[in-house]
Amino acid sequence: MDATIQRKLEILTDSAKYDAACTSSGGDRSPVAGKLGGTCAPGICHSFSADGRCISLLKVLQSNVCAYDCQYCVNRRSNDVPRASFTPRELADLTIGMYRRNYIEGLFLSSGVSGTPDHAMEQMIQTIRILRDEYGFRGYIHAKAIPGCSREAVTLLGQLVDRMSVNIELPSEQGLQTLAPAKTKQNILAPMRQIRDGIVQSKEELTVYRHAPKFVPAGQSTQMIVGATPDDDRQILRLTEALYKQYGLKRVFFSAYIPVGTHALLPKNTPPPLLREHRLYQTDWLLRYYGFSVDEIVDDEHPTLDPFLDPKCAWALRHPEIFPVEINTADKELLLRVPGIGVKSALHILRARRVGRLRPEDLKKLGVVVKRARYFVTCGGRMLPDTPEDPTVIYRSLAELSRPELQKAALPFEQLTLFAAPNLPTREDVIQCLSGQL
Amino acid sequence: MLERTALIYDGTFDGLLSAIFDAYERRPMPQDIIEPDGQPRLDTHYETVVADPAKTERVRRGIRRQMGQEAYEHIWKAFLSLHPDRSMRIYEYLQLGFRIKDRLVRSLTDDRVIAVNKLSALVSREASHLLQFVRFAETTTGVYYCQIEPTYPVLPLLMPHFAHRLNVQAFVIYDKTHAEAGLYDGRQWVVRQVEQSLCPQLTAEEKQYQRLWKTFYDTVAITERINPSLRRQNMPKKYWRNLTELQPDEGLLLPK
Ligand code: SF4
Repeated sequence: MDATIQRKLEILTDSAKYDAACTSSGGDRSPVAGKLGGTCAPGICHSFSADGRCISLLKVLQSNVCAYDCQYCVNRRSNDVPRASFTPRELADLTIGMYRRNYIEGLFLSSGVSGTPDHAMEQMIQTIRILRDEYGFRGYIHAKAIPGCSREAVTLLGQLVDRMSVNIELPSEQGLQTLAPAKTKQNILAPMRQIRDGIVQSKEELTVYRHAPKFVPAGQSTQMIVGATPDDDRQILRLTEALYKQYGLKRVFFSAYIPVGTHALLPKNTPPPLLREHRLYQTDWLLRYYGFSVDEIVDDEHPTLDPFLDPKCAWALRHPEIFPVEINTADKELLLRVPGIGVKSALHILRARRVGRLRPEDLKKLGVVVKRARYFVTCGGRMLPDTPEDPTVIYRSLAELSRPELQKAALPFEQLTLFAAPNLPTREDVIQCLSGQL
Repeated sequence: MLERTALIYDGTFDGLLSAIFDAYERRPMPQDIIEPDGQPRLDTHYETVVADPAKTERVRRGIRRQMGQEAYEHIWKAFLSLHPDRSMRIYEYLQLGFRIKDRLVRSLTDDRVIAVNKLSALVSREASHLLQFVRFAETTTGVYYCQIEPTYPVLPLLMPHFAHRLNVQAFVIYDKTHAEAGLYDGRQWVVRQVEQSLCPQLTAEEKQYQRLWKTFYDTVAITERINPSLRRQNMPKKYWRNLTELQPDEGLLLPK
């Protein structure tokens, strides 16, 4: 261990930091006597960096030498940055040392295209082999498949890791053509399909033989950069939904574009669109845990998410025919659609309902955010006392409610003025929306 | 004749369970169960009870069978909260539980249930924070060492996790706040009271790893997204003192 490792770590962390995925969830390696490590299904964050993001895995590149010239990426061939590569041994030892100290849950390994895609993959595979075979390491490993690598490399890697990802980065083919000419939609989607099929096959085999080899047991993920290209929220979200449904992805990550490129088509000196990224993540939650479909949230009339309202409130205001919902009788699906009721409070409501009838004062005890939910529920057939009835007041109060939360997360709500919102409903719209419920 | 009666038990969790057995044998049942250093009231007649392992086990089994494992874990964690009212709250929770059985954990709007769940949640939260923020250092004896300063004595909740994970690796977690240490020898763990703070000798390699980790930590943040309030929200300041990555460069090694 010497100064060069220190320097390599610095360079290869700096090159890897723009990847948003740093979760260790979905793992299922329980501890085995005599072997180091295990995974924990919900994942564990071990630290939070100065930007407030979770550090769960040692997120580094094997090498930031890259033959490609993707314009949105710091590691592009034409960019003048220091280059370095870890040997498989160096990186494996580093991972183990950090894991033993409880700094990390494991390794998130990616690489620039050092030489050919297959050569880059081979270096990564060697690193992970040392970890798994030599150290018997059972911690979490997430590896990225390099676009353009062979099927064999994907198969090998998939048998060693917990999670794999292939980053889509740009949400449209047109974006790829101009900004990442060496990549094609095809060589991104081909490994994604292969991983999907491998996961399905391994699950089937596991039902037959308990000891069949596992393939990417924690599932596949991807990332899209938001704000580097003109793609709107609707395009991004439709693609996201297709990835969940057709490619069986576990997670889609969004990464607000940080201006690292100089290409004429890329935005320059703009702050990263953090509020937009936040709204996309909120919508992603609605897709994964709340039973929403993308077309309910964005459509041709509303192709972008409302910056002032979280997507669930925005949806609820557009659907007066569904509300108010009766807390004592609504089923789980319907409860989940109420702003201010989350997955946990919905379960609490169902649980508590089996013991007795719920009264308005119980809602808070069950974890319902009453100040948000009150416009959308009845309890015992009645709206909560003192619920405002003026529709504009309701829109305003819901928008105001998200202000402190966004401020706490240092999201740029202040930069918006409530009157400049692109799809702020007019007073009439709001009245129309809400009249059904009032 | 005094209006109220109360039992005084030895202040241990097992002692509390045993005292609850005694409470059910008294007629009328005592209004309160307190710890030796609890605040006595003038209108109350106190009786000291001695813990009996057989009674403890009967109550423990009764809770698990009638109210479920979830209820048992709630009272155990609520006990670890060290809250001045913990004994009383657990006593009331269990009285309700022995009456309504497995409906107890579903009675989420009952104030007695809410009171215990609240305490249990505080302790769970601290334990899950420490699963994240424990930082081991390698000592010259080969044992890994870590110091924590938690509000609640959560070592019993941490030890199984790290024992599984580090497996054959021996380690010590020293809880400075409660002068306790969790010891694991590679096979079994125990929690012991310790008289004074432990001062392990660290290896030379340890210093390098701490530097490496700090380098990683400082580099991985994205300058354009710096967000102090979000970091504080996710990683409360009270833990920073014992986090390797947040020490100034020169203070990297743990106390001599
Ligand atoms: S191939 Fe990967 S590392 Fe290389 S420039 Fe493109 S995105 Fe960056």
